[in-house]
Amino acid sequence: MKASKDALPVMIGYFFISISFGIIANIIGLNAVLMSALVFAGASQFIALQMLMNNANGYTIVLTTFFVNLRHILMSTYLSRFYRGVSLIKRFLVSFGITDETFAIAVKRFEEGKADWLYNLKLNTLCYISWVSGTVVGLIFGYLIPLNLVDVFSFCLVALFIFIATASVEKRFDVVVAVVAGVVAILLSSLPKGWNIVLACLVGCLVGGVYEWRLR
Amino acid sequence: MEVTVVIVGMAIVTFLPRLIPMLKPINPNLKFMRYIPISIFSAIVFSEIVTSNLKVLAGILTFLVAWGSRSMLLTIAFGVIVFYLLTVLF
Repeated sequence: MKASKDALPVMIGYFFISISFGIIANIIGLNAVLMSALVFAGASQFIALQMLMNNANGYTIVLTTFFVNLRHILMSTYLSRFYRGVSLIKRFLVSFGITDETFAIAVKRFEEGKADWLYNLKLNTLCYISWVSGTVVGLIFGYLIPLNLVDVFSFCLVALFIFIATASVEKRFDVVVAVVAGVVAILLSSLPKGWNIVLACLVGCLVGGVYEWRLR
Repeated sequence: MEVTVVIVGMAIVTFLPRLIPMLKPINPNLKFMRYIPISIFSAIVFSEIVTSNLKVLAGILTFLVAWGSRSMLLTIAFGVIVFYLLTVLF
């Protein structure tokens, strides 16, 4: 499977979102690029930036980042099933690039039997390059780029998730779980960012688990 | 605290949740685990699109194309174009 073809829509989405990050992050200068290069997690970077502008305490920012990105534990746990027998260094490299989007595509391809660790690493790396270079472009040329363009292209990622969610429906009950998880996420959207996704996922698994258990 | 130090701290606490489960790959025969991906994807979509009416509308149309076409690139291209047209029109 060609990783570049799958990565393309994410690369476009990441590029424009990280441009907007670079524009706003102007106040921390080159540290914006450092953050994109080391953290590589969109939502938490925007929140950290907001907190830095409000002169928040450093520990608070790090702790918030931890909670916002905690959902990756669920993804990494699920993804690990495809990594039995793969060497530690390869798992190490791949794990750095696990984001909502790369996870979504990788799981789809692994379950179709069309992916291996190298596919996953290429996918992650292409998306990473796009994220970091978009930050640089936003930082330097941000004033030239119309904001509505950024907004329109960020819909790439929403459309990607709509597709992946739709494609992962295998049986009728999956739709029930999807709707329950979605509604829970909306109901809990006032919680600190990231938590609504974690809790929605747990509720979705609970509902699905109860259903599977009753089937036996 | 230096901004650079904060960023390094952010990097560590972001990387660990990504890394730790991968250190010991598991595939337990727990049926509920198959619902992890779809729950996450759906939660992300729902919480993202409810932020605006246009996104809800564009989201529904995109879903129909995803359902009908089963093509990732087509779905995404359609989604972006429809969202663009809607923002221009309204």
